[in-house]
Amino acid sequence: MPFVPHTESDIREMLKEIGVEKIDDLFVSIPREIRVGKLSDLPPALSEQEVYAELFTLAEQNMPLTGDISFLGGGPMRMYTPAVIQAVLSRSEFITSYTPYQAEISQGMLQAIYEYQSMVSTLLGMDVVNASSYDVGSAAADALVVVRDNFRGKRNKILVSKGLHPEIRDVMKTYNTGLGMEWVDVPLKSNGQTDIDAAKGLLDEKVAGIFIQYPTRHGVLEDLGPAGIPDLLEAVHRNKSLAVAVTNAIMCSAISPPGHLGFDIAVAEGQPLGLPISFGGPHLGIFSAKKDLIRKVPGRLSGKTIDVEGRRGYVLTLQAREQHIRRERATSNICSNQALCALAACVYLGYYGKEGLPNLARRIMGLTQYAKKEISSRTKFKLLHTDVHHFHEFVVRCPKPAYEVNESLKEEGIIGGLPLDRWGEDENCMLLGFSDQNTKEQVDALVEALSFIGK
Amino acid sequence: MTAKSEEFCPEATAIHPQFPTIFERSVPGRKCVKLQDESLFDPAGLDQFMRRKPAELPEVAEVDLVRHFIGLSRRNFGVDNGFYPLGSCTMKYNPKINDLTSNMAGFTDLHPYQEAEDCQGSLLLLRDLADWLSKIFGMDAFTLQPAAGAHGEFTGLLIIKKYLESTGQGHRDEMLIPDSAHGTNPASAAMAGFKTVEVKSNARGLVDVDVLKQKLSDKTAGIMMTNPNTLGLFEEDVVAIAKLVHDAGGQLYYDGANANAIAEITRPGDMGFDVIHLNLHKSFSTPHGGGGPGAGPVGVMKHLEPYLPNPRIYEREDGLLDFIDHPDSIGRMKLFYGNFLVLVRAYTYIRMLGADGIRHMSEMAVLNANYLRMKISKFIDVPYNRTCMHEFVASGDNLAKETGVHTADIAKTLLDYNVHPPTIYFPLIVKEAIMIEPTETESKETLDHFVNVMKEIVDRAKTDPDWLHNAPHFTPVRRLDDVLAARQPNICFTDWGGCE
Repeated sequence: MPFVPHTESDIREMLKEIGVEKIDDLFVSIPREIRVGKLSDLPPALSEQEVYAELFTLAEQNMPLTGDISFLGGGPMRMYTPAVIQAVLSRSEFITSYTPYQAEISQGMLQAIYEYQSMVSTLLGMDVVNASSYDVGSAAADALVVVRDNFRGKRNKILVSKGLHPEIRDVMKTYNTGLGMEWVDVPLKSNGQTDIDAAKGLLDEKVAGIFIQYPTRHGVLEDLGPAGIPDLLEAVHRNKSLAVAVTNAIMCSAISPPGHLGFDIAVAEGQPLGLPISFGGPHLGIFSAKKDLIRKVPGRLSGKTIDVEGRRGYVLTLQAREQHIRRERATSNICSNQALCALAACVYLGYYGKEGLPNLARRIMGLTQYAKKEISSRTKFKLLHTDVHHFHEFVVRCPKPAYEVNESLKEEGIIGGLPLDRWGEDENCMLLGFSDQNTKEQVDALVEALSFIGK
Repeated sequence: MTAKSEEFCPEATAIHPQFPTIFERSVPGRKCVKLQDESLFDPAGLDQFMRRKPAELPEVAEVDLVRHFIGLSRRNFGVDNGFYPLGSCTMKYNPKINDLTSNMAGFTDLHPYQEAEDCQGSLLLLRDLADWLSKIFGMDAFTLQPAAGAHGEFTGLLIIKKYLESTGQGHRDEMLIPDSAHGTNPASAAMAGFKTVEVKSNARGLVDVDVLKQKLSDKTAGIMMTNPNTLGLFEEDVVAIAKLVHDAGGQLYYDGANANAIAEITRPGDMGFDVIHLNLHKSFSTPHGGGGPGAGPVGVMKHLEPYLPNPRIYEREDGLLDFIDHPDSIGRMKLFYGNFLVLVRAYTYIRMLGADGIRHMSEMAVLNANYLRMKISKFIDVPYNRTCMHEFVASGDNLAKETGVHTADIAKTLLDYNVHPPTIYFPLIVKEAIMIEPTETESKETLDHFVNVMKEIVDRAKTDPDWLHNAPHFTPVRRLDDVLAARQPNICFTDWGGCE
C-alpha cells in the first residue's frame, strides 16, 4: 500500500503490544450498524507511473494559455513566473511544515511572512498587513467584517461601488448574510469611474464604510486628483466612516497606492505576484490596514521579538484576536490561510525589487495605452470608457457579439477578451487584459485581426 | 549535552548567529532583473496618478536572494525533516507525485474564464473528485470551493441557515457546540449569525446526551460535532444524538478534521450528518505549506443541495461539462471554483490509494495511535485511556504538580531532539493537554524512537527540571518572548521609514 510503511510483521507486533487480536478490534467503539460493509465504488489504485499518465491525459484535455497569445481579462493576470520562485517553493521545509506555532523551529516561515508583511506594507502604503486571506474576495469580505465591528453595531450601512469585480461583490454579499449590513450601491459614471458626487450624497451617520476598486472591474483608474478620490475620502472621514480600497498590487508600485490616498483598509489579489493562474486557485488574498485598526485585523500576524540570548526572532503575535483564543468572539474564523502563496509573493517582490516592479508596471501600462490607441484608430471597435486612464485592462464595444469576435480571433491563434455577458453586462462588450506575457507584436497582430471585423 | 542547564549557552549564538532580513541585505542599485524597455509608456495626463515615492522593496542580486530564502528554509521544520505528531492536524507524508501532477501546465496555465470547451480536463477532475468524496463519506453532493476547513465550516453553516429560513425555521439561531470543539467551530457559528450553546462532555470524554437533551429547544438550529472528537474518541452515541437533534428540528454538522480515522470504516452520511466539511490538507495528503493553501470541501445530503455555493458543475446538452449558477445557492465563498491545484493533489492521492488503500490508511492511523498510547501511558497520564482512534490526549498535569515541568517545557525540549511537538493545551477540557497524532505514514521505528525520547524527557523532568525550563537549547533561536511581541507589536520592517 503506498505511503504506509507497515509490514505484516510490524502489524502483528503492534497489535500484540496493544493487546488486541486484529485490526477490527480497534474499531469496537463504532456501532456495527454504521460500519462500512462494501468499500466505495472508486477507481482501483494505480501505480505512480499510471497515475501520472492519467493526470497527464486529463491535463491534455485542457487548452491552457501556455505559449498562446491571450488578452483574456477579468480575473487572474497571466504573468511570467521567475525561476527563483520555483527554486524556493520546492523546498519541502516550507511546503511540508505546519502553521508556525512552534516558533523556534519555524523561523524560516515566520521571517518570510514578516518580510511579506513588510513588502506589501510599503507597496500599498499601509501599516498592517496580515499573513494572507484566501483570495481578494474573501479579503474584501474580511474588510466588511472589520468595518462593521469597528462601530460595534451602531452603524449598519455600507456603500459599495459598482466598480468592484462582480465575484468580489458576490462573496461580500454571501458573508453579509451572516452580518446583516444594509447594502447600498454607488453608481458609475458613463466614463466608468465611481460617481463621487453620488457617493458623497449617500454618506450619513449610518454608513460604516465605503468600498472602491481601482482599477475598476473594467480596468478604469478612478480619478486620483484632488477633486477625485482624495476629496471623497475627506468627506468619508468627516463622516467618521472607513474607506476600503480594492486594488492591483503590481499597479501600486507605479500608481498612488491606497495608503497614500488615505484609505483605511486596502485589499488586493496577490496572484500576479508569482502564482500561476491555475483555473482560479490557490491565489492570495492581501489584506492591509492603517495602524489604529491593528487589533481588529483578522488572520495571522508575524511579529518581531527576541529570544533568551537576545537574538532577533519572529512569532505569531496578537493571537488574542484569533479563533483559537477568542473562539466565538474572534473577528474571523480563519486558521489555515495561503501562507505558501504569500512566500511566493515575497520572493517575487524581492526578485523584481525597488526598480524592477515599477518598471514592470509601467511596461504593462504602456502596452495597454498602445493597444487603446491602435484599436481606437485602426478598427471599428470603440473604447467603452473614454477620457480615463487604464492600467492593464479596458473594455471595447464590438461591432458584433464578443463571443463571435473571439471565434474569429481563435482562428488567428489569438484568445480574445472576456465577453461581458459573462458578468451579465452587454454581450457586445469585451474586457481585454494585458500582462508582461503580451508584446507589442502581439498587440499589432490583435489589431490587425480586429481591423477585419465589422468592415 | 555538557552545558550546565542554568547557564546561557554562548555556543548557541556562534552556531546560529542572527539571520538578517532581506532588507538588511539590500544595497541601493542592486538588481536581479534587467530593466526592460518602457518607451511605450506615456506619462501625459498622469501627473496626479503617479506614485510620488517608490515602494521600499529589496535591492539584492539573485544569488543573495536565493541564499536568503534557502537559508530561511533551513530554519524551518516540515514533515520531510522529521516526525510531526501534531494532534488534529494529520501531518502525514505529502506524496511527491502530487507535486508533479499539480504542476502540469495543463492545470497551472488554465484561466478560470476560458470557454468550457477548453477546460474539460479540469471540469472532469472537479466532477470526479466531488463524486468520490460523496461516496467515501456517504453524502449526496459536494462543493470544492472552500479554501480551508474553517472556510468550509462557514459555508456549511450558511447552508444550514438558508435551509432553515427556506423551511420557515429561520427563528432557530442556536448552534450546539461541544466544549471539546476546535476554536474555528464557535468562530464560524458566530460569523454565520448563530449563538453558540456549549454542550459539556461526560466523564468518558464524549458528548453528554443528557446535557444535550436539556439544551435542545425550538431555537436549536443544529449541532456541530467532530467524530472522532478532539480527544480521539469515537462518539458512540452519534446515531442517537442525530435522531435527537433531527427530532428537535435541528441539522447536524460534521467537522471532518479527524476524517483520517474513519475513511472507508464508517461514513458521516450514515451517522446522520446533514452537512460535512473535509480538510484535504489533513486526510488527503495535500501539504500544509506553513499555513496553507488548503482546501475545505463541503458535502451535503440531498435536501441541502440547492444551497451549495455557486457555480455548480453540470453536463450540457452537447455532453460537455460547464458551470451554472443555482438560484437558491448561498452565493460565492470565494472567486472562481476553489483551490484548484490543491484539489489536483487530493485527486492524485485518491487515484494512488483506491478505496482499499483509503481503508488501510485509516486502519494504520488508528493502529499507530493506539500503539503509541499503550507505550506512552506507561509514564505519562492518559486521562481517557481506552481504545482511541487516530489520536489520543495525554496530560502533563500530574508531572507539573510533581516536578514543576509543564507541557510547554516538554514541547520545547522535543525541539532539541528534531521532533515536532504534539499539539499542546488543546482540547481545553484536559489540563496541560498533549494531543498526539502519529498518522499512518510513520514506521514502527519512528514511533519507538518518539517513545524513547519522551521517556528520556519525562525522566529528566524529575532530575533536572531546569534543563527543560530553558529548552530549546540547540535550535536556530531559543525560547522567544511572546509577551514582548504582543505588547510592542513590530510586524513590519521599519529601518527605512516605511511604516511603524
